[in-house]
Amino acid sequence: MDNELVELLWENGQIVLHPQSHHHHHPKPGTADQQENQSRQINKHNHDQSMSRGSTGGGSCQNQVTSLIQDTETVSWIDDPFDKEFTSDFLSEFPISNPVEQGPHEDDKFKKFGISQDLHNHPVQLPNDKPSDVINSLPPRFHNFDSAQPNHSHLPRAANAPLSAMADLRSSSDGVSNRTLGGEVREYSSAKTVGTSHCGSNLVVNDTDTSRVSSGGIADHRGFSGAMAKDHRVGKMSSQSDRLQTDQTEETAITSSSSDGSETSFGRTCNQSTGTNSHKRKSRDAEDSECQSKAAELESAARKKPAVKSGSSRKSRAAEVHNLSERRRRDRINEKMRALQELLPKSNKTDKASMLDEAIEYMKSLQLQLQMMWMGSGMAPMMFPGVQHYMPRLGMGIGPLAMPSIHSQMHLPRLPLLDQATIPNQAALCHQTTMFNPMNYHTQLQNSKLSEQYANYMAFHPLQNASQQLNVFGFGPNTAQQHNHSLAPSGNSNGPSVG
Amino acid sequence: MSSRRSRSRQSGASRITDDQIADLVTKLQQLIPELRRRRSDKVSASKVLQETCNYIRSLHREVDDLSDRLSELLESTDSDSAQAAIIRSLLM
Repeated sequence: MDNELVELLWENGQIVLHPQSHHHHHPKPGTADQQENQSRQINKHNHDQSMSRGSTGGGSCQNQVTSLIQDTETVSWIDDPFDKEFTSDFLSEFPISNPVEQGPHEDDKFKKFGISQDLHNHPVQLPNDKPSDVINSLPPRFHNFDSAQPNHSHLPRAANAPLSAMADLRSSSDGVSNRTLGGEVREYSSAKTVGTSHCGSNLVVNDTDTSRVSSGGIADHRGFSGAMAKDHRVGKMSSQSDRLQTDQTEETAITSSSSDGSETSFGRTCNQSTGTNSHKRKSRDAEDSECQSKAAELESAARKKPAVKSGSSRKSRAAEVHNLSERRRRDRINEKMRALQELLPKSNKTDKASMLDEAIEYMKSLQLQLQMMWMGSGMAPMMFPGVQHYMPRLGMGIGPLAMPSIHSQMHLPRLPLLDQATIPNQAALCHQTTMFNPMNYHTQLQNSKLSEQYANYMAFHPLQNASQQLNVFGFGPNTAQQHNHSLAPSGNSNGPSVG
Repeated sequence: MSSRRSRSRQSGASRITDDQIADLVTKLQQLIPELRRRRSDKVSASKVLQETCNYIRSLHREVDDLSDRLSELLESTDSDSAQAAIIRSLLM
């Protein structure tokens, strides 16, 4: 299969490969095996990763494979004068292609990085072809570049041949991101087919560092493939995830100022991959945007620091440190505000004061509701059987009676007074214990004055056992007995306290 | 200081002073049982906010627990009894 691919490529190319293509057929069978293994690995990893990588990535990877195959086979190319033409052409082309690629997509840079690193490791896999690998990759790259534009990724591979060019590339994009982490991160976030960089890193992981694979395990739990993380990047990733979950420690950000871009996109990918965390996505996104701004600030601050080196730098540094700590504190507070906002019932307010207001009200109402529920769960089993008789009768009676208590706006501890006050009225309507109409009850609950009604109910009910719950409202065994005894219209001294 | 500058910029735009926010934070602190016992001066805003979040979460948990209990109670009683009506109104 690979052989066919190779042949196709070569035929499609405009390059003078025809004589060489025949040449290729012979050495192919010998070297095809080891190339096939790599291609299988590449293809497998292609499958493992997101399908968005799809055809382009796969195609490019396969092109890689074919190029690999060709690399080994084209040993004879080194001597070929054609080769030099290609190299020169390619070298001339490479700087041109750089701005082209850098302009539209930052991802390409990462691709290049990935591939450059890949190429670094490549010699490990193909020790024989080290000299020829780089050079011989030129013609296929060049060829692919002409025939298939999307295969940007191949270019930087060839770019390694002139190592100086690669160095330039690296230095130029240093400020943007760090190597494969940025590339892989962008890959995931933008779903662009950075197939080759991934292929490269996959090759790397498979064939070189075992530590990387193990550290990739950490990345795996985030939904990334195991090939993703490099060593120091993994440390940073885990620290990043921790950071995103808790406080944002800027130290790591400061240490690598160039990682800002990767931070933000990483955060986004973290969102996508770890949606199960308690932190919701929108909070994450908000954090990410803050991350960006903060990271940018930190970066500028970090860059400022090494630049200034004099006596005055101490002051400015102290000021910067203060600013940083201030910013850190504010960010912590903002983070907590966001978390609080998540907890509150749907509120459109974004400004702090109204949010805090809402939080206060919400907490109060929650506390009230809980008290209600506690009373309800405590008293329900205590109801005595005869209460139902009183329900319809009390519907009318309670209405006007309920009004005073609603309007009284009394706090819970003052309920006993209220009960005393309503005893005479209610007793007048019905001699026995009162029962609240559930409808009334309902509205009262919504008015959040339920506590008074509840307490009233409890007061008239011969619930000696419930005194432990009633104590919440200041009911004690004494008061309960008082209520029970004072069902008859005998106003106590507390009578007229109803507002 | 740049922070002061930025703060003035903010208050000019939003009319919300820091004192206002501090006031609210104090109010919030007094609602939270844990922080009520502490002397209010020492507690930082971030701590208050953190405790608020925790407290609200615990309240939510409590509400859920009680709701479960109440619904169990509801099932155990006759549906037309008064207490069932009360429980239902509690559960809303």
